[in-house]
Parts: sequence; structure tokens; C-alpha cells
Amino acid sequence: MDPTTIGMVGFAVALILIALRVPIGFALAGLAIVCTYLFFGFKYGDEFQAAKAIRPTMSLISSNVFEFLHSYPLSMVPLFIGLGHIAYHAGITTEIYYAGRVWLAKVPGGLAMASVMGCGGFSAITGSSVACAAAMGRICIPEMLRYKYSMRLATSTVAVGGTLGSLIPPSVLFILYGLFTEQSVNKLFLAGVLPGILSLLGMLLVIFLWTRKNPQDAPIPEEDISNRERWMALGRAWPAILLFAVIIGGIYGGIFTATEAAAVCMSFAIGYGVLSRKLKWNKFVEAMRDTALQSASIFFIAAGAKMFVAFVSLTGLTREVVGLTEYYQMADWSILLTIVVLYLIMGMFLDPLGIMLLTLPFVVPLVEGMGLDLIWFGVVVVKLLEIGLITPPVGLNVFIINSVVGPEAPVHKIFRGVINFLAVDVLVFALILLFPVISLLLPYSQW
Amino acid sequence: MSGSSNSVSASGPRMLVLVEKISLIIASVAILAICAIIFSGVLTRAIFNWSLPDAEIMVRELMIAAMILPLAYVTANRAHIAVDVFVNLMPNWVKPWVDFLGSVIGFLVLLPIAYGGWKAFNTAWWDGNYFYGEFDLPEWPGKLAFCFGYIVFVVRLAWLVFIDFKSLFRSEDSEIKQ
Repeated sequence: MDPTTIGMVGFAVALILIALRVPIGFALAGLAIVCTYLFFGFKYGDEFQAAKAIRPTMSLISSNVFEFLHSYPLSMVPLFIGLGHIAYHAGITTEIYYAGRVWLAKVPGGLAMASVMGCGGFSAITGSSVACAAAMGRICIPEMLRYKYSMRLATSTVAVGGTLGSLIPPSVLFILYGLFTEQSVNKLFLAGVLPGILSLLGMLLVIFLWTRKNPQDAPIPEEDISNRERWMALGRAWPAILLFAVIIGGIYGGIFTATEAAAVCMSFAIGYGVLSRKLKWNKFVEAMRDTALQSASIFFIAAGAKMFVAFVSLTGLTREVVGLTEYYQMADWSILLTIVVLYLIMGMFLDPLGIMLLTLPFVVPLVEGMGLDLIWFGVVVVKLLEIGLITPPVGLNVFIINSVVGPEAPVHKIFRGVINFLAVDVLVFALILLFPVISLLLPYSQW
Repeated sequence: MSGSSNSVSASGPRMLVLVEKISLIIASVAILAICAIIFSGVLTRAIFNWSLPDAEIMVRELMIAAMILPLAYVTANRAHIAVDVFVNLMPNWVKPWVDFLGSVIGFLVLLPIAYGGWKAFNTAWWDGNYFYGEFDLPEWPGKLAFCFGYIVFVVRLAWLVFIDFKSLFRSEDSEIKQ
């Protein structure tokens, strides 16, 4: 059996297993082990040589997993996840929302706008879309419902706002993209800033237009808020503003690496939580436990993907894919369009991390072959995955909001609200795709 | 999507649960230690223009403990990332079979990795391998964490295979009764 056939059959089997609820990490690792074994078994002739294949397979799989995890730059993943959990329990992330809520109280749809800004601020610290939707959903939605906002606007706002976690740095997806494509994570973080802000502005625009068209969906609260209260609320948000400034300013100014920024920020969040007495011991333990669990489940998939990548490079499957595009003389734009459609379709059904790690070994050589910038492409991929988080029928963030709110917010109702935002999200994506300068301005003007 | 929300939860033997909990605590402490090492490195560099020797090696070793040791606990809670949209569309009797399939595949996949981990630890221990650096830190602690984490992971999956196998017959019995 030739390596390409082994690779193609293996890839199809992995997709079937993933669809059958086999954990993605198991499916990727299983595929890599079996296919590597078959590859070495058939390597020495037409006859399958089982005994000869064991040793190279064993050495490849165990060393790959160990070497992948035995990494200094990867340590930023648990640190950023830990920062998110600690910042949440220390009340750092929620203060951004409260500041926005007070400042935008008299603006039509102000609470919804504050929720999106709160999600943006939360994302700027935690780096996880799902965590953002889950945490902010518990805070923002009850508040909006209390002020008689429509369920559709309240739920869809937070579902969409949650997606900012993937694009606004720090982002776990960017870190893993950077490590798998050997691109600078610092540059990827900087590349995500402007597209993230653009996405945020797009969401605010949708809320503005929505509430102008349907003012009954977002009544203006009658409470009076003094200027003093406004400034005090903004003042209370200083730790969040400082953390974001340290992450972006530190990296942009070349003061420290992303890994160091993660450690500095996590240490600051712990210190702030302890000194302000907002971080209780039981919450600290819970935050660290959740950090360990979340990091381990992400790394388990990443380790499976690493074995998968090693197997793909063995088989030469990537060369075949590149060869196919050359054989059919596909234009660059049509290859790019195919990739975009592929990600959009996969994003409707699969987990963003799984999609990214499963497809990168095939997609990156194509993009490199076209001479496109891999930092820009990272932003394109993450934005596509972000859109996948709110696209029916799966839209992970929508299901999270549904689980947070309960049966009063059925999934179809949230999806109907999300559709309004999707149109602008697709427009923002088109801008990122057509004008790479939006993504590349900051990383290539770095000090 | 997200954590595979399988139908049967697995608590398991007390000893296994205890080992998983202790492993999770060690992993959490390892993450804090990584944070402390990197943060102190930034501080000492900024203040004294001096960096902690072998900090990078220590962080790499701690990463193994931080990422591998919680895996059994994640598995016990069925919290691995999986896609359940298609299975949710299937009839109820299919679900226990799907759970069983996932556990069996996981168990089979992990066996060679755990064995590889054991062999690597054995070599590092008996050969006395160490990292080149100021402290000549030994290689075996990271390999031990890797090997131990995967062994507990395999044991947890073996237990899950057993539980899921039992639940296959339980669901068939309940269907017959209905």
C-alpha cells in the first residue's frame, strides 16, 4: 500500500471517528499510530512486515508527544488560561463590563454595547471564546433582561461578543497556530489587535442599527448616573486596562516575550486578587484546578495533532495536495476560496481547535506556495473559526449561552439573533482577507 | 461539542480517584511554579541584569507534569473535547455503543504511548541522563511524570471500557423491559 493511500484512508477514518464522538485527541493520535505503523510495515517491500514496523513507530509516537510537551514557549498556554480564571475570580474582568454599562447607560442599546465591550475586555485577558461566553453570559444576560431587553438581543449579543476571545490577544488559537506553523506568537498577537477591534466595532454597529430599528428591544434605563459614579466605575477597571497594556505594550515594545507577558500578568492578577481580598482561597484553588483541566484537554488534542503532523510529513500527503493544485492549474484565489469554504463548512460542525490542527498540515504548504504571509493567514483562519463558533447548526457559543440561560432562551431564538451579527462578521472577514495590511500593520511596525 | 457529554459518569475505585486528585493538585502546583520561575526571571533580569540558571529546563520539565498529570481526571469526568452533534441525532440505543467505541480506541491508543514513556523513563534513570546546564538537572523527573501520568490515564480508560461495556447490556435490558 502506498503512503498516500494510507494517509487518505486514515484521514477519512479520523473524520468518521470524530463525528462518532470519539474525543478528537484519541482520533488524531489513533490515526497517527495506526497509519505510521502501516507506513513502516509496507516501507520495506510489498509484503507487510509487522515486526520491523514496531520499533520506528514506537520511537516516533512516544518521542513526538514528549518533545512536543517538553516546551518552554508552550508554557504560555496554561499561564494565559490561568490568568483568565484568576482574573475572573478576582473580579478584574467583570469591572470592564460594569464600567461600560455605566458609561453607555443612556445610549440606545447601551447595555448590549457594554456587554460586547465587556466580552472584548474579558477576551483581552483570558484568550478563550468559550470561557468568555460562559462567564459573561452569567453576568450580562440577567442584567439586560432586568432592564427589559429582548431575549433575542441579550443572548445573541453575548454569544457573538464571546467570539472575540479568539482574535483579541492573547488567544490560545494563535499560540497553537504559531507553534504548529513555526510563526512568531508575538507577531500573531499583534496581528490580531486591529481585526479584533474591527470585529468589535462591527458588533457595536449592528447593535446600534438593531436598536434604532426596534427600540422596544432595548429600552433606555431610567436610572440617573452621576459623573462621579462614571469615573469611579472606570477607575475600578484599572487592573484590566493595565493587564491588556502589559500584554500588548510589553510585546509591541519588545520588553518581553508572550510567555513572559503571561507569567507577569498571572502573577499580577494573583497579587491583586490577594491584596484586594477579592480572590478567596477556595476560588483560587478552583481557578487553578480549572486551569490544569482546561490546559490538559487542549494539550491532549495538540499532542495528537503533533503525531498526526509527523505522520503526514512521513507520507508526503502534503506534497500530493500541492501537486494536485498544480496539476489542475488552480489560480491562487480559487485555492484560497476553497480553503475559506472548507473552514466555514467544517466550522459549522467541528471544534475550532480540532479543525485548525487537523487542516494546518495540508493548508499551510498551499498558502506558503502562493507566497502569502502566514501571519496574515493565521488571522484569516482564526476569524473563520470565530465565525464557526456562531454558525448554525452547531455554533458552540450559542449552545453555551443556551446552557447558561436555560430553556427560556431556545437555541433557534439565539441563532435568529446571531444571524444579524453574522452578516457584519462576514463583511469584516472580507476586509481582513482583501486588505492584509489590517492584520500586518502592527506586527511589521514593531519596535 | 466541547466536553464529550457521555451518558455514564465514572467515579471508579477509591485508590484511582485519590491518585487522580493528587495528580491534579501536583499539576496545578506545577503551573504556579512555571509562573513563578518565569516571573522571577523577568524581575531579576530587569533589576540585576541576571537570569535564573536553567530556568528554561525547569519550565520544560514542569510542563510535562502540568499537562500530563490531569489527563486521567479529565477522562474520569468525560471532559475531553469531542463533537456530539451527529451522535445527538442518532437513536438512544446507539449512544452507549459510541461511548464504548471512544473508550476502547482511547485505551488502545494510549497503551503504546504509555509503554514508550516507561521505556524512556527507564533509560533516563539507569543511564543517569541529565540536561546540559548550570545545575546538570537529571532527565528522569520529567520522564517519570510523563510515564506515571500516562499509566494512570490508561488505568482510568481501562475502567471506562469496563463501565461502558457494562452499560451496553444495561441499556439493552431496559429496552427489552420497555
